[in-house]
Amino acid sequence: MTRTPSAYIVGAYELPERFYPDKSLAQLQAEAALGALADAGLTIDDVDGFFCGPDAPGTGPLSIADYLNLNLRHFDTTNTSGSSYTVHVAHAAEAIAAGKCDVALITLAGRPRAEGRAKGALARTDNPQQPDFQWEQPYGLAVLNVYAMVAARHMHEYGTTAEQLAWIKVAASHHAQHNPHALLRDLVTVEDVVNSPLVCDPLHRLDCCVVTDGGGALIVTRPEIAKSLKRPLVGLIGSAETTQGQNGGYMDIITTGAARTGPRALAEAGVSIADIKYASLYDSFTITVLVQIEDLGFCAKGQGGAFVSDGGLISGVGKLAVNTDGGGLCNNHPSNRGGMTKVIEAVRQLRGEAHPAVQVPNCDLALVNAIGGQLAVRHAPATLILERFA
Amino acid sequence: MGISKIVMGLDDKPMWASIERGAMELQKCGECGEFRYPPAPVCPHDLSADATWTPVSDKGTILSWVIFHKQYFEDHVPPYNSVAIQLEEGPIVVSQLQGDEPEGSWIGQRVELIYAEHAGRTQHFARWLKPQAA
Repeated sequence: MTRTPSAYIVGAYELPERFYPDKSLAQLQAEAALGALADAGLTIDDVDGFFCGPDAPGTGPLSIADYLNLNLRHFDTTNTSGSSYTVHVAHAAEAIAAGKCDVALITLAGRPRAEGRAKGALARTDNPQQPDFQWEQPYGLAVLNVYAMVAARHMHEYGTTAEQLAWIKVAASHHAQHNPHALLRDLVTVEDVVNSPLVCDPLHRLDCCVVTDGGGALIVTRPEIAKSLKRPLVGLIGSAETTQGQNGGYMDIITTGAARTGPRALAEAGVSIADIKYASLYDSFTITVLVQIEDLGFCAKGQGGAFVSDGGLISGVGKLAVNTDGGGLCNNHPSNRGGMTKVIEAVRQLRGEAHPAVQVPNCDLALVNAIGGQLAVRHAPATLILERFA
Repeated sequence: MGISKIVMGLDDKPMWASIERGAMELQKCGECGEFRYPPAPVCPHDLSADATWTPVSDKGTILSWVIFHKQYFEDHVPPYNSVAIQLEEGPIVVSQLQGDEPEGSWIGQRVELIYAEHAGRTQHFARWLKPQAA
């Protein structure tokens, strides 16, 4: 027994390229927006709600709203890093249910490669106004370090191996080979991953996501409008968000806040984790996927290594098809923010519009989980449960 | 690339002053008695602003560890490590192991904080406390 959606995702568009040296950030935002509107069969004049992250140029929604000449009744620029756009879907549905807007546009675009910021896991600059930053400083830490610490601790507690983590990348490459837009389309093996250079032991280069230019956009609207369009109906039936930090120095570094958002979103939807046919899981690093699979309840804590092994995440092969576009590990991680592409591929699966080689048969229920920020020290998980309606 | 920096907000100054003296102090909550790290204006467990800067034992256990093979800072040349240490007082801090290293996984090994100059400042590092032969 699922609940009646208060809103539907009727437009989804991913910019095709992964390197944009000759298009401005504003143009990429606009092309993403127009692509999603065309997909929905709506026009820019229909948009009365706008949701964006700090990847949009200027202050909050102001520049892009001006550039696109939007006539807004509602906006929301919640920033939880990579999960922002997943949060925006839920917030758009809430705004629509509250009568604040009818057609919500959510955009993401960035060009870190074109701007020479494609340096992998960048060293963070210190911010003395942010008490939690002290944790990573001043011992030569970067983003990657904390994820590697989570991996090392997971290996210690549960016997998880580098080879098991490698299977997550292998699955992504199996999917990406069918995606003509993916940055990395070559199949890789477990041996390729564990023999790739160590970046931050125990994580190798191929345990890390790509850095890409690009972006995407989504259109969320109310049921009456959604049913008037010619697109398959993808409804939001459950959502949850939270934050998790250091708890004054007493954090459990291998458990994410998804352990709370997953069960809450599923309960709201009235479905169980076993009902999920497809999952988009934020894959900044292989370890990120592993802890989400456990925390969301696809398997018991500590069993993630066994779950992902032997093609466990490959569509048509394993127990659960995950990131069938190739994910952030192989396809796309635009502007270092993966939440948007996670929603887009879930919409494709629910519409039956994924590549035939990776399409999950009769895919009527999908879960999206994004982790914004950094595992262990500060992050915002956001879970969506999406259902296809006839 | 640049030099790694310390975080020196208003709330952090007493801690860095104690590190400069070679005996790190952290805030101990006057309400619940818990130590907290990083420094913060209130205890995250009861939001009490009543805290006393109190020396820690400098002893703890490695909770996790990594070894960098890619350079991010001029003053940290790979391979270099960083370790998360759970202090005897409770909070998890990050440091860097110097000197002898355990074989295999470092997790669970006991360490002691030592103080040394680095990049023109004093900061703590960790020294392995080798298990005594039985």
